[in-house]
Amino acid sequence: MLKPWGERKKIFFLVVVLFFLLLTGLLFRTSRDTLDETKAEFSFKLLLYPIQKALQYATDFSHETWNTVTGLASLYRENADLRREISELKMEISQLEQLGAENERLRQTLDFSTKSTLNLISVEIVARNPSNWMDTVIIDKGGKYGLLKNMPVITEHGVVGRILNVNPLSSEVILLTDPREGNSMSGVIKRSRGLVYIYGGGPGGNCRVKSSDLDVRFEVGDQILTSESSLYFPKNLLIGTILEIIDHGDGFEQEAVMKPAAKLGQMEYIYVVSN
Amino acid sequence: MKRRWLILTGALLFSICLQSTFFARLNLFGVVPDLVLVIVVSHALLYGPISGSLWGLVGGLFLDLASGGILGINILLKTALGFGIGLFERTVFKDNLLVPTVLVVFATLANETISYLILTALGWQEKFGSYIVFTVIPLLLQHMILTIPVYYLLLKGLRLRQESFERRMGI
Repeated sequence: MLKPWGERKKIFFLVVVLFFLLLTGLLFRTSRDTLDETKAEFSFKLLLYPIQKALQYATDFSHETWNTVTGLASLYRENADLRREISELKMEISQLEQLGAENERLRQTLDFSTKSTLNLISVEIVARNPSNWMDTVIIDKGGKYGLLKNMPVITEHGVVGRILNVNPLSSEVILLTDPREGNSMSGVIKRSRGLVYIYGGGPGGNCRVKSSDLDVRFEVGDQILTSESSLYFPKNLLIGTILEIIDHGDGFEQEAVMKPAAKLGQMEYIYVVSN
Repeated sequence: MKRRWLILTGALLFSICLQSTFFARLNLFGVVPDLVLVIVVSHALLYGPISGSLWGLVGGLFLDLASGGILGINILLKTALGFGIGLFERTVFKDNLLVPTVLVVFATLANETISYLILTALGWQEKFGSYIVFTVIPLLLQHMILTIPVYYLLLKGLRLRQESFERRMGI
């Protein structure tokens, strides 16, 4: 027999209150380690991957078809291959330039330490995070290809981020701009070699940079490189350029906005540094 | 009943994949639209608060699992918005496309503002002003454009369902 409306209303509100309490608890529990992946997330992403891969192919196909129709005709595919080749060559040039700059600096200081060349794995971006709160991308290689958590990810233009989660066939890369707590790295100003800390969540898809010391001062246009003290990144890779200096008015702490050197919104192929 | 769950799961999974591939590649105004929110709002307006909150719950869960980070934020917001928007089901004229468009604007503002408050309280690092300019305003524009085809498709589905029900009943 159906319960009277008043009683049903009470039960309904009780269920709603319990539901919201449960969710709030879950929210606080998972907010502690936001960079760690739960088993449910791992399984769900594994389930999504084939659909995303298929949709990515469909998207690429329609994108290419559209470009072909609108004037590039058969040259487009050849162009795509050439662009990939150029991207790889630029990467090599960039490495050589970095080696040259490093060599010059070392020559000046009469320090003859050697720098190892980077071992790169070329990967393709399959999907991006569906939320605007998290800046991560899914790449088409995972544990089976030797990828490990925290491996650095770069392009020919500069640093992209690091591997956050590894699945057998795919991996999730956290970009420099992701605003989550814990997504930070150290760097140095190319001009003064002053140590700085880089965080995500800057305005307009940029990063925030804080100086490590009161003596370390920014200038607009300063280039930020990976530092020797970086946990995961090889030294002297370009991270970005200082766009704007934020004045806190106290004359002490200096903060700046940094535009990442890698074009994070337009990437198709990126590289994982495996050594 | 089974068919209903299949449609619900399939539509929401597909929309999340579309969100993370096609729309991410499109990169219009530098943000990815929240297709799940648009679907939940449109669905709630046509089917009422109970069905609206159910779609919000499942859509929010899928979005939370796909995005990583804090689990529960999208479940909480999408369920509440599905229920809230669903309350308008009997009071608004469903054939007017302006109604879902305006409600999507309110839902987006509520979703983004509450998300911002919760996430900044939990340590996220983003300035409110830049968030409004670079994320919320482009999102509003995208959602307004997306609502028209999404709502139109759902409305067509509802009409077809009503017609087939009337045929079966011999009305």
